[in-house]
This record gives sequence, structure tokens and C-alpha cells, in this order.
Amino acid sequence: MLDSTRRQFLGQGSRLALGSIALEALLREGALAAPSPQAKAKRVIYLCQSGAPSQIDLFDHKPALEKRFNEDLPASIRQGQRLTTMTSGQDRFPIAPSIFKFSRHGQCGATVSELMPHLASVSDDLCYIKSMFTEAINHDPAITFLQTGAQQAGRPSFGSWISYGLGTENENLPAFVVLLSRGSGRPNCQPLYDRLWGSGFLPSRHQGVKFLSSGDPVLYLKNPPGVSDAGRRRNLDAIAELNGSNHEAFGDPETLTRIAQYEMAARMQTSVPDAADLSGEPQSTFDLYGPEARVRGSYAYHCLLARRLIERDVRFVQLFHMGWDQHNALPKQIRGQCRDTDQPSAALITDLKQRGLLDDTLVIWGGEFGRTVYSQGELTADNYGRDHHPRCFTLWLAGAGIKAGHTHGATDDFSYNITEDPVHIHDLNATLLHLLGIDHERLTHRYQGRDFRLTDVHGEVVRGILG
Amino acid sequence: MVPSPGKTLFLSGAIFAALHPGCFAGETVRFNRDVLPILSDKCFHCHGPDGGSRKADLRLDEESFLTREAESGLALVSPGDPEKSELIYRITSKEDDEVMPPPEDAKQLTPKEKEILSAWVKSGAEWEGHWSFSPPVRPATPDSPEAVSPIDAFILERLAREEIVPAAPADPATWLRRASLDLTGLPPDPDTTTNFLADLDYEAAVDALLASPRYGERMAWDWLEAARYADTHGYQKDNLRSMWAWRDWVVKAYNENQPFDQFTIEQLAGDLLPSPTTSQLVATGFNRNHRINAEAGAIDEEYRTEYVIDRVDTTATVWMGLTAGCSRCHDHKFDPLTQREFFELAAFFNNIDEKGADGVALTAVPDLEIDVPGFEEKMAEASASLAASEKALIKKAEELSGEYDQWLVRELEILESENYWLVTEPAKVRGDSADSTFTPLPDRSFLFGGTVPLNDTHRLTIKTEHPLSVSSIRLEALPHSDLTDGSLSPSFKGDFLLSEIQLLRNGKPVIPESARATHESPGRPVSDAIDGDPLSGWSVGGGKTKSVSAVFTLTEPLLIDPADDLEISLAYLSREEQYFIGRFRVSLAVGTPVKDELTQTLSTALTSGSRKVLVQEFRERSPALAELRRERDAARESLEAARAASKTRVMVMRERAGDPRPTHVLGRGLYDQPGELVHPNVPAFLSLPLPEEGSRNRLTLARWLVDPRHPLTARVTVNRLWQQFFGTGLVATPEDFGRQGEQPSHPELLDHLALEFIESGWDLKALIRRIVLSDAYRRSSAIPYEMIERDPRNRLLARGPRKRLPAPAIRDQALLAGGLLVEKVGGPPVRPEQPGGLWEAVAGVNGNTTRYVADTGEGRFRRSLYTLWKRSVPPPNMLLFDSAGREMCSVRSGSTNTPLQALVTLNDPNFSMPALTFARHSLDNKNLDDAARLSAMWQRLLVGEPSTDELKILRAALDDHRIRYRETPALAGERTAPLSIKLSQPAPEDPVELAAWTEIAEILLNLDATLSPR
Repeated sequence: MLDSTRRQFLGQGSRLALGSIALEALLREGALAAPSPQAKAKRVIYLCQSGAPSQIDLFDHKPALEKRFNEDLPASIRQGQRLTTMTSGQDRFPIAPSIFKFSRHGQCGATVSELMPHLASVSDDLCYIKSMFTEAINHDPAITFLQTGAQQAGRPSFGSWISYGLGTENENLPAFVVLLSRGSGRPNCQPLYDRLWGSGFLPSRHQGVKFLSSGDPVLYLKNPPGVSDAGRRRNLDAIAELNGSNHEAFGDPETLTRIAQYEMAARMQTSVPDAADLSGEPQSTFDLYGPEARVRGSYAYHCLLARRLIERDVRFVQLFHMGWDQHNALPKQIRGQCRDTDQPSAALITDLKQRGLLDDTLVIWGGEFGRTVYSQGELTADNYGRDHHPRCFTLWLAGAGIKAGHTHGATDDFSYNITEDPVHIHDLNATLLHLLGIDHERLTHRYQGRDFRLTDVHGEVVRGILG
Repeated sequence: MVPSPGKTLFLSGAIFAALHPGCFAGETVRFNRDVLPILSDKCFHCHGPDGGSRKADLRLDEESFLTREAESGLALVSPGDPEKSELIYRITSKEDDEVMPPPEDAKQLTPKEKEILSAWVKSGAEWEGHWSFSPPVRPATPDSPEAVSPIDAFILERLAREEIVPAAPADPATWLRRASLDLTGLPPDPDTTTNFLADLDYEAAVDALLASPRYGERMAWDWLEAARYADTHGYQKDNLRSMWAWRDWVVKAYNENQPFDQFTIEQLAGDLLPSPTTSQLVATGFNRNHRINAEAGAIDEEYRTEYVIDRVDTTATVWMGLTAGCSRCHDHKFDPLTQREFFELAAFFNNIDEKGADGVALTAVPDLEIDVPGFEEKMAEASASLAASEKALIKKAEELSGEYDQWLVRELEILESENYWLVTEPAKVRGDSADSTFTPLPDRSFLFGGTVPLNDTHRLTIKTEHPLSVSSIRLEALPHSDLTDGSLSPSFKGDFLLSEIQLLRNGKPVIPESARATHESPGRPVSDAIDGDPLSGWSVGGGKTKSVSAVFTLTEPLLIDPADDLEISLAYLSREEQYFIGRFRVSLAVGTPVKDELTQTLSTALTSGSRKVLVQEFRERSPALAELRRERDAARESLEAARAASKTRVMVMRERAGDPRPTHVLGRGLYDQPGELVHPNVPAFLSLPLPEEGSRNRLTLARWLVDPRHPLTARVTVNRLWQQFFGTGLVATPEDFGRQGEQPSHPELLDHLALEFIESGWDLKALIRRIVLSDAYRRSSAIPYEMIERDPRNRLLARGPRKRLPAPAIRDQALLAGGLLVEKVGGPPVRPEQPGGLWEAVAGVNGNTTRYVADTGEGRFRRSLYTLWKRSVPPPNMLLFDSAGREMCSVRSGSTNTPLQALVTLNDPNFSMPALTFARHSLDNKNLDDAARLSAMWQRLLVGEPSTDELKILRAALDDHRIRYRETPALAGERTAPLSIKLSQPAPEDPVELAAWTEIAEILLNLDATLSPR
């Protein structure tokens, strides 16, 4: 499609028209000629909680478990399902009820634990899915599955599919931005991998662009020492002129694209620091997001930065917050994680709503799987750990087209198996694409002779969570 | 519209030709080229090879359907009569319950596709098998008076049919740069250019490039991407791995022009050759380059299965251009490869003596230790130097008899004072966790290592030779380079938390009464280490790189007898993870010591009067010998370094002993759903069965792949090479020669090249030579206006290739222009500069790739082939230029054009440093004026001469930069500072002039013509 657009453009025989047309072609290179008019969402903020938060301690309240403290998990519940090798050798699987208090919140009466007071206060804006499930049982394949729809490496990430499918709306910023933060609950956490925001077999321009927590906010953004803006401008002009003469001699449309890309690079050198500069934010912003929002690289800072990027029409902002892998010392660690994320996540919802952005922005919060009801390692009155649990977990959504103040799906009395409305990762992704105006069966890319999709050959739109 | 790059648009003859390169305007419909792709893409999903999803028991991928009758009584296909063909009726029906594909199907036939199917039936519905599944047949080379080579004859014939006049040859300099970059990944050296431009001997130039060691390095890059080579294991932990010996094997094999059949056999099955050489064993590393997991909790068999499947996918893609992976879970949807056949292929790779979750150490079994050539001399030198320095130390110690006596008197005084720290030399140190290791260091401290658990208790067993009265215990925590950021601990923050310290005499605990420490972090005082609560303890805060200590005083002195068992335990049981003291030393207070120390060895020797030990101790402790000791230690380190470097390990393929591991068809491709038992075999549809006799192993498979009758191997290999030189293969989908792949643009040429390749004895250099010397490759790449529309991707090859350089060449040519490139073939991976914090940002669990430390020496400027490739965070300046991620096999070269690329070549120090040195070199010749100097720089990088206009643009920029830098000399200082700071080169005499020329170098390194050779 790019080729044909470039051809048309060149047919006009004018190098001067370059700026708008070639760039337009470039930005829209994807795929869908235009977002569908049915699209509810224009932008996405994905708050990925890496390591897998414990649904039992945060959202999936099981009061009856209190009486079963340290009892063995009934075999009828476990049903011989596979476990990781971290607990498959345990002598017994003692039930560890959550030590945290739950209460109902908002008009919708959602049950949320005391660990998430701010989030609880915006429950009426959220839609909880308590019946999420996945296929992998270890972090690497599971988070790869969550982000790319496949356990093994090589597929494009969600954000790169969106960049490919919808292009960008801001020619001065990348369409797909990635923000990484480290949890205070468990510094010794699950690592992340570039493939989680990679473009797989899609053209590499669709890979997520990391906004970094140290040094230049985007790789190689700053001029080398001694190069002033004016000096660089002079060089860009010379490069453009020489490339122009190269194009006159050789006529390669790619040369024109390169000229446009150098200009965009120069604009990014201004627009990226501008988006990342929080100095103009009033005190009220920091009151809302919390004092950590001033600390570059923190989750709170990233939530605020996500709002600023969304305001600038960045299509997809992907946060990763590490540290949710609580195999032991869960109570201590999860407190730290919730301290990091509770207030900023809630603030983001409130802030987007106040600015009218929540109407067409989709917010997703969740991890790669859930955690076991039984304790990994020693179980005491105030301490326990939980192993990986792919069979059920809780995730919440908010914003564009999502049924607010709603809870979807349910699990059994042990938060072990799903009893109502199971939602597979592919179903979730199909639904998210649907909200973006994309039929998940039609957003495809041919590679190795096959038309690949984010949802493989699966996925049903979950109608029950649509507003 | 849904993106579908492979979709067919029959808008006009021209575009038809462009997208369907096998066809040209006005020709009749052919099944193989025109019809089969439509059936495959739109119909095979339900009516294709996959029996599992087949509807109405109808398959359109086999000839038999032509004679089938539909339920309606109509023939499915009536040759010559579309109206009487059920097939055409169904695809044109207006009825929802009749029309095919069904209306709800995402893939619908376009009107043009319906026309083609109809036209095919009308023309007689002739059947052909898929082109690539039968062996190439030698095509007659077209007569062509203009063509110098068969390659050109085929291309010109096609161009003549299309009535396109090919472009004139590129000027010689342009051709030379193109060929040099394609063959060696670097522009030509000035001498080469001068010689070539003088004699215009194209053949000699190509021969010289092929003979350069740079050739093997260039060729290796693509092979490494196909082989998913990396220097880390990938997956979650992504620890370092040692496979570079295999990488060097590849470079050598290319440089020695190993025949491709041998290259194949050694990599797939070198271990199964009779009496394999070390080199042949190393070659088998090809199939160990896949990722290897090490995540805690991972199930061994799940990952072992992944590795086997990865080998099938990779082997099928690289040698056969088959998308075998599609058959892992079910029969292939498009190609006649069944799921059973997929696992028959897997059976060849399923008998390796390997484990699943084994990606922790540098190599996973099976592996091999091999000698690294070139270290014999270094080792001998280092040995001699160590012997000499030891000798000097001993000699000097002997000479210092006066000092020895004084030293002895002093040490005896300490012993007799009965007030000293006795530095313990524990008989045993162990951790409760079985995997913990403790390495003794010369200063009597211990370095903790091994698989670092979350919690552990470390226990020191101390024996004494004579009775001691101990009043307190001193614990020192010392920094070490193996610990986090050179701190005191292996924990993520480099901090420790000592829960409890205990002294046990004969198993009975003695709890210290009081404690004091040199450092404490708030809320974690040292007194918490003796409070009996394992959750609380002593911390000092993270990031300390100087030693700290604590002294724990007993209620009353404890008398310890040689018969007593004394144990000191350090418990780390808090909820902080891995908060261990990483290097510790424990001393016991004899009496009430202040500063004096004795080691256990020394105190024993002083007591017994063993002169030999005393002399030794004197040598190791006397301040007068410090300098010689340092020299000796340095010599020992060099020897150890040389010894370590003289060996390397590499993972290889090795069959298990005993009966082969059984292979099953796996339900949905999952490791825990074994079905039918299968045996090694090759897919039936290629009609080249294995011999009935003899065993079937990887060697059988490798030989089968390079059997001259194999329909795919030679075509696929030739095509990949064509892609390397022309940007697009003759088949544009090098990874897919199946029915969903693109048709070849020049089928006869492809077959001609494939057969020539086989007949030449699989001679790669000969094949490449022919390609590079062809007129097609030599043509000017200028695009005539009308050809932009007519053939935008240059599939008809009327013009020369113009493509963006691959990532490594972009960096390497900058380093070469800047005179920085260090050309040394092979060796362990290097770490050039990369932006800070990239590894750290994603690091989590303890691994050995959590922090990137750049090299300071030549490692900064080696060819990019040698840059350490960490799979979870590949080098960003490679990835941004479309390098494969190396997590899985990749044979398609991508080329995007993005703003982030501009930022790399403008701002990355890997480019800004060469820009600076490029400018500095250009100023070496003082006799040039600006124009000549600009021209010389242009020629160094771009080989040809700049035009008058181009020179004018550069001169204007140069003048402006001179003015600016003259006005702001401080900026000129900053711009040129890396010369002395980073490169230790002399500071420039005239920074303003150098800065201005550096800007010119930056311009040149960023030109489109630099990145995409003309």
C-alpha cells in the first residue's frame, strides 16, 4: 500500500509535496485504510503488571476460605492439573486464605481488598473480569502469550499490531510507546524482554519505542556533545539537499521517505522531551498521582506520562510494572507493589475522565496469570507464598466502550477453577481489537504463507463487558 | 482494507506483472502460476491437505478433484465449459447457502480471481503439480546476442517480452562499491579502488573481494540470522552462552569456500560422520543455537520438546523453504505436509543427550571443550613471567633476613600479648542450600556463589590447634567484583540483611550479648542480628563498595579447646531475597584486641616454630615485599587469563547412548499429549524417499537434503543468495517455497542456477561470482520515471539493485571510514558502547546479563558480527536497522526506513566517534584545498566523485560550520573532546577546523547514498 501511495505521489512529479503526502503514506502504512467508524477506542493504555498479581489477595474475595486455613486443597478442585516444578514436589497444598480485608465499593459494589483503596474508589469506572485464564504456566511463555498471542517468540506484540493496523495520529511521536518500571515489592523480579513490544514479522517500524528511565528519554535522542540545534539544523538541510539531488539522479522513492524520516527525527528531538517534561504540571496533578510521580522511571511517573502521551495522540502506551511474582513473603511484597501502583492507576482513570479522554481511551490492568490458593513454602498466620496459576485470574478494564461498574465471570470457592464466563487471552484481545474498530479475524499479516492474526485462529468478542 | 501483502490485484498488466512476477501481460492462464495460488489461499483451508478441517470430503490440492462429480450431478470441473462446472457455479452463486467461500469467511474471492478460475476451466482445466515440489529441469538458455552470461540471457528474454529496455551499466566506481559492500560488508579500500579504476578488470576485482577474509564475515551474518545464533540463552533468565566457536567455524567455512553440501552435512550431522574431526563436531552447533530456558519452575520435557521442534522448523526453512511449523499442531493447511510427517522429521532430532531447562551455565549438555588457537605463546610467556616473579620474591625474602627477624619478633609479641584478632581459616564452609559455593580468597575471606537461593544459612566450622579464650567475634563484609555492582552482596540492591549470627560450641548455641558495627541502615541495627528474630537483622544499605564490619561480644570469654567443635552460623532468613553477605571474613577476639591480627596459620607456626611456614608467611605479609607480591599476583592473573582464554566450550549435537528416544505425534503439538509412535522419515510429497536399507539418522537426513535430485535445497539456497545481492529473491518469499509462497519471477533462471550450483559441486564462490559479474547486477540503479509504476520492486531486473545496507554494514563502514575498525577475525563476543541502562531496565532475577559494561579497548571497534548478542535486549543499533532478533530462524531481509534510524546514525557514539576520526584523518594531508578534501572524503565513503552541485552543497555547509564554531569555540572543544577523552588520541591543533570537518563527516555518514548504495 505504501508503494502504491508513493507511486501516486510521485506521479504528481513534485518533490515539494513531500512533507504531507509521503509522511501520511508512511504513517498510515498499515493496513486498515481508516479506523472503523464503529471504533469506540482511539487509544490504549495497557498497564501490564508483570509477574502475575495475586487475584485472591486483591479482587477475587473468598471469605469461606478463612475457615479452611492450612487445610489441604481438595483433590476434587485441583483435578490433577499440572503445576510448576517449584511446587509440584510439595508434600501438601495447604490453603492460604488472604490475610487482607475486603469490602464492597461504589454503586456497583465491587469487592476490592484493602491493598487497593484508591482503585476501589473508582470501581464504578472499572470492569473487572474475574474469569481470565491462559495456557502457559511459567512467566516467559505466559507474558509472551499475553502480549503477542503466542507462547513462543516471534509474533508481533499487541501494540505493534495496533501501530500496523491503525497507524499513528501524531507525526512527531511514535505510535507505540513502552514504559518500564520496577516494583518496590520484589526488586528481585521477573525480567522483561524486547520481544514483548517487538514487531515480530511485521515491519520493524512498528516495534514499541521505549521511553527510558535514565539518559535520553528515547534512544539516541540527544545530539552528540558540541552539536547545537542550529548546527544540526544546518546538517539536516545539507543532508536533505544532497538526498534531493540523489533522488533527482536515481529516482528512488525510498530516498524521499528518508528525507521525511530525518525531518521527523528532528521533530522528535523536541516533541519527546516536551512530552516527558512534567515541570508544567500543577501541584494538583502530583496530589492526584502521588509524590512518586515526580520520580522519573516510577510507575506513578509513567501513569502521568501515559496521560500526557495519550493527550498527544500517541496510539498505544504500554506500561510494564515488574515485581508481582510473590512465591514467598507475599504479604510483605504485595504491599509494596500496591503502594507503587494503587494510587497512580486510580489517578490515571480519574485524570483521563476529567479530561474527557476516558471516552475514547481504553485502559487495561492485569498480569500474565494468577496465583494459587495454596501456599508455596511455609504457611503461617501472617506469611505465605503463592505459585503460578494459569486457570483463573482477575484483570480490569476501563474507558472506551467498556461496561463500567461491572464484574464479569466468577471462580469457584477456592479461586482455582472458573465457574462462569471464562475469558481466554485470545477472547480478551479479540474484544480489545473490536473496541478499536478492528475485526480480529481481519487484521492479518502474511508471513510464511499464512495470514497471521493476534488471536491465532481463536478468540470471541466478549459481549458481556461491552458498554 | 485488510493488509495482505500477498494479495493479488489484477488491475492492469503492469501491476499484474509487478505483483505476480511470473506472469506477463497477454499470456494465457496457467494452473501452477495463476490458479493454484488462488485455490491455496482461498479454498485449501477447508478443501486442502489438512484432513482435520476438511469439509465435504473435498480436496482441491490433488488432481483427483478434476474428475469428481458434485451432488448436483454436475462435474466439479468440466474442462472447456465453465457453465457446466460445479466449481464455477459455486464461486459465482448469489445464494448464501451455496456460494463458496461461505459469506462469513474472512477470505473472499475477488471478481478477478473468479475470472481466472473460470478462464482456466474454459481453457481446458489442465492440472500441474506445485512447481517447487518437483526437481528442477534444465531449461534451454535463450539465444541472446547481447547476453554475456546465461543469467542475462534469461533476464533479457523476459525484458524483451515485456518490451522494456534494460538500464545502462552503472559507472565502474558505483559497481565496485556495490559489489564490495555486498561481498565483504565494507566499501573497498582506496588501493583497491585505484587499481580497479585503472584497469577496470571486473573479474579480478570480484576475485579479490571473494578472497578477502571480510567475505566470510559478511556471509556469516545472514547465516547467523538463519541459525538464530546469539551469545545468550534467551527465555527468561537469558544468561550468557558460549557458542562463538561455532560462529567462527561459519566464517572459516565461507572463507575456505567449503562446498555447500559439505557445509550442510557437517552442520546437521558432523557428529555422525566416521571419526569426526573437532571442526566437524563444532559445526553441529548449528542445531544448538536455539534458545534454552532456565526459568525456575519450567518443566523439562516441555522445553526439550520446543528445542526439537525448533530444529525441524529451522532446518525446513533454511534448506527447503518449507513452513513446516504449520504442521506441528495439525496437517498443513496449504502444503501436503501432514502432522505425522512433521513428527517423523522431528524424530531425526529427538535423540539428543540434552535437558530441557538447562540454560544457566555457558553451555548446556551436550558440549565440548576445545582449544582456541594462538594462545600457546601467550601461555608460555605468562608461565615464564610467573616463575620469574615468584623466584624474585623468594630471593628478595631471603635477602631481607634482618627484616625477617624483626617481623618474627613483632609477630611473637602479638602472640604473647594474648590480645589479638585471630583471623579464622575455617576447616569447612557450607550453606544449608546444597548449591551454595564458597571460594576461599588469599586474605582468608570467602566468596559466596553458586545458584544463589532466596534464603540460606552459611556455616563456618573452625578447629583450633590450641586452647583459646574468645571474647568476641568480628564479621567483615568485603566488596568483590562478582557481587552486584562491585558491592558487598549478590542481592539486587547490593545490600545484605544478616538475620542472626550464632556461635555454636559442640552444637550448643552461645548468643552474643552486645553488638556494634561500622555501618547500619535506619531501622536495621546490628543488634537485630542477635535478637532471635529471623525476620529482623543487620543491613548497611545498598551500593557500598568499601568493607564494613561488626563485632559481637560474648557475655563472658569462651574457652575453646582443640577437641571442641566450633561453628559460626550466619543466617539470612528475612523476607528480603538474596540479601547475603557476598564475601566475608570472620575473626575471633583473643583477649581484648585493638588492631593486631594473626591468622590461624601464623599463630600455629609461631607456636610450633615451623620455619618453613614462617618464611612463607613473611613473604606473604611483610610490607617490604608488597611490590614484588603485586608483580607475582599480576603474573599469576595473566597466566590464569591466558589459560582461560586458551579453551572455550561450545554446544554440539550428540546422540543418546542406548535405544533411541521414542518420538510421538503430539496432540496439538503439546509435549504432554503424545499420540502415535513415529520413526525418522522425510515427507512423501517431495517424491524422494530415503533408501530402504540402513539406519535413519541426521546424517541420512543431511545427505538427503543435498541429494542432487532434491527439488528444494539448491533452489532455496540459490534464491537466498540472489536476495543478498538483489534485495529480493527470484522467489520473493525465501522462507516459503510452498503453495502460499510467491511464484518465481524467473523460474527458468532459478532452475538454471540451481542446477549449475549442484553441478559445480555446490561451489558458493563460483555461484556468487557469476551473479556479481552479470550485466543485471552491473546495471545502473537509477529508476526511470515510468518504471516506478511499472516495476517498483525491480522484479524484472531492468535496472541494477538498490537496497539499504544491512545493519552491521552501516556501522562497520562508518568505523572503517573513521579508521577505527579493528579487523581481527573471530574470538569471544565484544561489547561496544550502547546507551546506559538498557539491560538494567528489564533485568530481574539473578542472571549474568543484568548489567551491560562496555569494553574499553578494541572491543569497541570490532566488526558488528562480533558484538555480543543478548536475545532479550539485542544491540539497539542493529535491531533498529531490521536485524533479526535471533530468537528464531529468519531468512528474509527486512528494510524499513524510520526516524529512529536517523537518530542512530546522527547521535549514536558508534557513529559520532567515527565521524570525528574520519574528519581528523581527512585533515592529515595539509596540501589539499577544501574542494579536494571534500572530494577525498566523498571518495573514501562513496567511492565515486561528487558532482559539482554536491560539492557546492558541502562547501556551503563547511563554511557555515566554520563560522559557527569560530563564534562558539567552546562547542568546537566539546565536539572534538572525545578524541582525547575516549580515543586517547592527541587533542587537535585547531578544534574549530576539526569540528567543522566533523560536521561534514556527519553529513556524509547520513546520506541516503551512504546507507543505500547507488
